[in-house]
Amino acid sequence: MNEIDESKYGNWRDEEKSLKEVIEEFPDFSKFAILKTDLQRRGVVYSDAALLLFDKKIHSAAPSCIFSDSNGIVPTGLLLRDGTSVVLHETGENRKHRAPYLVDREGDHLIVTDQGEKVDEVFYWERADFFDKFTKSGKPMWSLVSTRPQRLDITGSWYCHFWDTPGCGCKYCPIGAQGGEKKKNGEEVLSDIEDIKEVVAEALKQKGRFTNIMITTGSILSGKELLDDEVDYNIRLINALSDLFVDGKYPLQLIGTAYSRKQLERLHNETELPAYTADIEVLNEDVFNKLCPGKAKFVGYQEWKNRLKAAVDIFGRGHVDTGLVTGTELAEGIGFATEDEAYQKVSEEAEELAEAGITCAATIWQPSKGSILKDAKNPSLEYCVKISKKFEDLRRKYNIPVDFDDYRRCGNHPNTDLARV
Amino acid sequence: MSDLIDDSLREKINSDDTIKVLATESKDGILHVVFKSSIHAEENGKIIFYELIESSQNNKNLVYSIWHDKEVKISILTKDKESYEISGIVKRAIVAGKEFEEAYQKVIEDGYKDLSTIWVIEPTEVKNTSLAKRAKEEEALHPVFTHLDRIAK
Ligand code: SF4
Repeated sequence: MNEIDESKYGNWRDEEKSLKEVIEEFPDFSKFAILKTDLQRRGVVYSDAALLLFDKKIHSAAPSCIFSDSNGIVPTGLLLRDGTSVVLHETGENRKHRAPYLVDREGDHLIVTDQGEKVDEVFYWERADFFDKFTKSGKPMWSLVSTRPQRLDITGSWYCHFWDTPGCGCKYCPIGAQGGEKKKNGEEVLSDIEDIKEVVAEALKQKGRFTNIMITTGSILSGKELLDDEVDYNIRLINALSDLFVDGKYPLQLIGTAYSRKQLERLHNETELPAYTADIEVLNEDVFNKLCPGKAKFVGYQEWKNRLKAAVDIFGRGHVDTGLVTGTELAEGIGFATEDEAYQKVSEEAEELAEAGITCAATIWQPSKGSILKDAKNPSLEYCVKISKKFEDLRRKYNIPVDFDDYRRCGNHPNTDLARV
Repeated sequence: MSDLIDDSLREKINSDDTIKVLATESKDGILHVVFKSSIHAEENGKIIFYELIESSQNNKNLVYSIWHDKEVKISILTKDKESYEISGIVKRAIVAGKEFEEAYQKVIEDGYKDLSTIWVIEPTEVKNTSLAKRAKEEEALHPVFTHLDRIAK
């Protein structure tokens, strides 16, 4: 694609503030975090010239660097001039409501453009050195562990068992379709811990590359107590990776399902896990019940919050956060009717969590193919920035550090990007 | 491509004998000045230096500067007592990629513990602030700015 057909998207530009106007409206906010928010919100597509700058021996493409099939190359993400990461799940070709940005080329430089105007210079992510290697068991390492510019991403279960109960998958989540497909094809959906350990050991040979490991998993509900099997798996994985570090401790973010106090204590006592994240996804009980019916049925909204608070007792303030798929609170037919109402209600609940020592980490909702809400409209840029600013203001008001989930350890939350100054 | 830094100035900036300081401003408007021996000029006219500490005030101020297009200042003093003030805007923070990894390895080989960021500054103005030159200018432009005993018989 070499230019965007603006006529496909109607007059959305007249209905909301532009990037420039939002940057002017929020002078305290990083203009890069605002740009990142908008790139994720509207999506990006790549011109042929931009893709000529993509070298699959150097750059990172989804789901791996070997990826170059009939869909073409899909870069995994972009870096902005200030080091801000932009995580992109897919290209913006399927977005229905707003024109995506076009990533293009200016000489030897990669630039992001809107309506033919240069917005800023951007950079492709680089792939990891281990991507061409294979495990002892013959598996390509790229297929086992993925990367961000400075983070190793490990997925325990590629399948989420909320999808076992009809209607219980989260509506914005493409994992159900992806993991379900794997399961249907008879592929292994639970990562082998020895394989993962081997890849991480290889990754650590790349000096100066990685600053953090993130472990996440599709929810595993089974066990003596709900989620015991997920907790057991995580304990084994975290401890296996501990073997690779001098005193067993390493920067690690675990994004798990909301565990009971007993399970959290086990994680704390049986591993060197420094911090804990359980994504509540949306801050309103009614919307949560509609958006995440599995989480609502098996754990419940208030219980999810209670478990986050229990985690603060165990891991400490500044060591617990919760991710929000920011914008889903306004999904048509599910969420609030207006951005003003959403802002007010979400802010109130975010304050309750901040008071308890929990940071909210905004992840901008990118309606993705494979999810139930793939064609939905996400909110205005102004709303996304306003609510991110609120989360950061609350984090500062209640003095909660967020080192383990900042611009570099994670890079997917515009509000925690602001902790850099 | 900045042509403000010519070959001769680049040599002075890059000399190990030159003292180099960097001044930045925080989001609350508080000035911060640090010695930065890693400051060096590249052939493309950009100034580069390494920040070793992620949460240092200097790093925070540079982040704030790149977010808000704030100017930073670099002063250098050569062993021959020549000094220059270089104003610039912060162009890029390199935190990942092969360029970062090469600098990281160099920093580690030099005995430091870690590297946070490679900062790239684009000079916007260079002033020769050497005392000898400035004193001559002062005499020419402001002849009355002196003490009487200096001109007494
Ligand atoms: S819990 Fe929800 S968001 Fe998480 S993997 Fe399962 S369906 Fe997706």
